[in-house]
Amino acid sequence: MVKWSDFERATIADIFSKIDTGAVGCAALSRCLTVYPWTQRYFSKFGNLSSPDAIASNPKVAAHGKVVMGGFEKAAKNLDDIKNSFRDLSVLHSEKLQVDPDNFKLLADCVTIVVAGQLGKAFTSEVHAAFEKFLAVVVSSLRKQYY
Amino acid sequence: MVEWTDAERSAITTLWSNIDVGEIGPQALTRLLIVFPWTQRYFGTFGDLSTASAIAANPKVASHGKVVMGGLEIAVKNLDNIKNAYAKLSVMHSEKLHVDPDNFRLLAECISVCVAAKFGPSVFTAGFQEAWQKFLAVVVSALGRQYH
Repeated sequence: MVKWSDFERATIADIFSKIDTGAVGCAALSRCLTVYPWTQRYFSKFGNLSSPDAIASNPKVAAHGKVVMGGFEKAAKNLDDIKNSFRDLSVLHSEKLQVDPDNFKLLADCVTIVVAGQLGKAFTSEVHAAFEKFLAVVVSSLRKQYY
Repeated sequence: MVEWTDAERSAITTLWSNIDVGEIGPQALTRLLIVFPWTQRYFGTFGDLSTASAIAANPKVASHGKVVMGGLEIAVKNLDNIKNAYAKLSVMHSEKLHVDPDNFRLLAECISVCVAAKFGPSVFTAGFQEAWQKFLAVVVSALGRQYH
């Protein structure tokens, strides 16, 4: 089981209390599709993804970003059992959506960049370390049911 | 050879002209040592790295961060030939310093986070992030090139 220090628990709760998960989710997914363009292959039904502006203003990207970030919020509320709470999501991503799990890290990196941009100086190295650990646990849990 | 669009060249040079190497370099190296603590093993001679505050206040970390960030200048000025421009640095990191090249990617991530935190999303747009991370990926690849 993952062990969280009091500082890490407080930091993760604090980040989620400060961010607009819908806005962060939309920005992170947009950035993922822009910075790592091969990820667009999973969203062929989303319409126009032909340029950074098209992606950033695409309503399906925004809606889906919100859904994805909702998943991260669920993890934040279940810090002591992310692995089990993500079991069904992991099966969904591997068996139905067939997402290459390497892409989870790429989206996680984009979430980090968006949160860093929003929090600025408040995203200190210690806060970053706690958030990075949280995202690594989420990514690992999403990967777990692949084999 | 790496192909750069005009937009990417412009994004990279714009970001670079606004980056204070003396500010971002120390921040990025400090962040690396705190967020990815195993990287401290390469800095055994740097003195006190025992806590986040110690790392943030360590003068050797600060001055080395500046050196490393300054090394990116070579890449910015040689966008069309980063591989060759970094050949000697790559040999040094593999044969003399014995740095696991996975760590270059981690430092690149820390640099991007520092840049994102400093400039905010209206400057560090998705388009700028794409160009900047592509640039850092090419640098990381060039640094890893002489390993085998």
